[in-house]
Amino acid sequence: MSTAQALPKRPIPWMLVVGTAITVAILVWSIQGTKFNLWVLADGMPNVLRFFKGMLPPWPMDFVTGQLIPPMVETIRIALAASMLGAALALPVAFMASSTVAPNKWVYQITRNLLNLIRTIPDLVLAALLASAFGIGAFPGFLALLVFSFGVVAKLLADTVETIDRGPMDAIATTGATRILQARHGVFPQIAPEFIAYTLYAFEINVRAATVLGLVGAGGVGVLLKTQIAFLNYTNVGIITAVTFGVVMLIDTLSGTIRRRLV
Amino acid sequence: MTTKGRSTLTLLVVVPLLLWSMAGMDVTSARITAGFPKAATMLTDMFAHPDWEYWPNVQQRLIESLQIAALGTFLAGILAIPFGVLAARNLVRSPAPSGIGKVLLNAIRTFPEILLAYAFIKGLGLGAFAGVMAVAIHSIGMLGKLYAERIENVDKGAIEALTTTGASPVSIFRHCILPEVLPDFVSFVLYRFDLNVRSASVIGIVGAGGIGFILGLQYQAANYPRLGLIVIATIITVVIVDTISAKIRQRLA
Repeated sequence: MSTAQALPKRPIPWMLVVGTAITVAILVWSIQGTKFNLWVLADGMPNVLRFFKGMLPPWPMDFVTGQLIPPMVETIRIALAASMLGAALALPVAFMASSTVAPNKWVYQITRNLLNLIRTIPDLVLAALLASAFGIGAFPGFLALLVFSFGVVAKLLADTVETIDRGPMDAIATTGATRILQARHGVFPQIAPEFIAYTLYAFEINVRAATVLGLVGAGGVGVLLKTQIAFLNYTNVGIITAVTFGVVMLIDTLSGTIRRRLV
Repeated sequence: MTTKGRSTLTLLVVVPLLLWSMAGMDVTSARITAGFPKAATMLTDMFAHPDWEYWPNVQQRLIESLQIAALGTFLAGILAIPFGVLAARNLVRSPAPSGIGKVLLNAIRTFPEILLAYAFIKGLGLGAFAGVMAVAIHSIGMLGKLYAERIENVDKGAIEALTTTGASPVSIFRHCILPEVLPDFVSFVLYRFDLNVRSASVIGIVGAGGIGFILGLQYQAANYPRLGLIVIATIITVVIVDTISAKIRQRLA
């Protein structure tokens, strides 16, 4: 059985031919459109590498303690607040967006489509717009990631709710309990571990996103990154990148360990 | 632990964390009361009166974003193959190359794409070319990882059989692995293309071409009717690309 599955899948030849032709056409079109040129690349490479070389140590440590730690903490705060509140808002909406619990087809369709729409808005764009409405700083960054976390957690959770065992919910329904009570006692206990896991997952993505939000004035370590790039201080750009990398890895490991325990 | 005990414990962790993270956010009532009407005006300007006269520029830049994403993804799709082979545990006998490959891919994946864009702008100047390179290098991280994981799932028996005949790793890859993994590799590349259409519409904000370039420009000029058109057009493009790519990937699976 396993050998039969392992046999190579042969793509239908005409599909391969058409696929290759389309790919080549798109490539030629893209090379022309973007002015891609290997000679220009070879010429420019030394400058690109100079940028990276500039980022390497030795790093002045007083920059880390004096300037880097406060915005780094702010980045973590933005990500944390956004994922927790976003997930809390996502919980009721996830029920509305799952066919098993939604009160009717309309609510289901509308919330589903709304969630799909929310997830297509790039967070950097949202943060930029929010920064011009609410003023620059951590707050618009928090709002942008709140919207993002809400979208991701609601979508993932809605998919999970659709796979649950309907038994407890139906049992509660026969007692005449409202839909909200059915969801609270019949569905939520089944999805609680996933709910926490998705919140942590959103948090991991948010930490990465929160590090660049500052580029558009939305707080966190990105603000510092932008000024250091503007000052052409690549050593500091290097420190910021390295410390951010360390923090992201640490949070991923922590959050990943908790997630594996849960699900 | 009882359900009640667990909920109490959760609250004891969640509430202080939330309070700590919200502190210092500088959320004043003045800011909120001033912000919402301003946001409402902005949204009305953006979506009730989009500036259709600006459409030719939007179209040209959207096409540029798609080209950046297409070429960047293609280059990454090719460049990621050696990384994937290196990082796969079952191809090379000693464990060291796989470990090195995985660390390398992880580092590439975590390096911010925006910084790559800055670096390539330094070398290649402002424009789409720098965007292509940033997208290409950044995507190697994820594609290499997916490739390696797929190669690790290839039937062991076939590889071992070929190894005993003394076949070289290159010929094993060419004849035994590539035919099996190719449809999945194409599927990964298409998936990465979806993500790259999103990146390619954002990296322009720092000057790396595509729709993000005029997005940044109109944002600085606070021209909301134009911004509205840009945002609507970008979202529609992303949705269309996602739909087409999902259809093709379903076929490949």
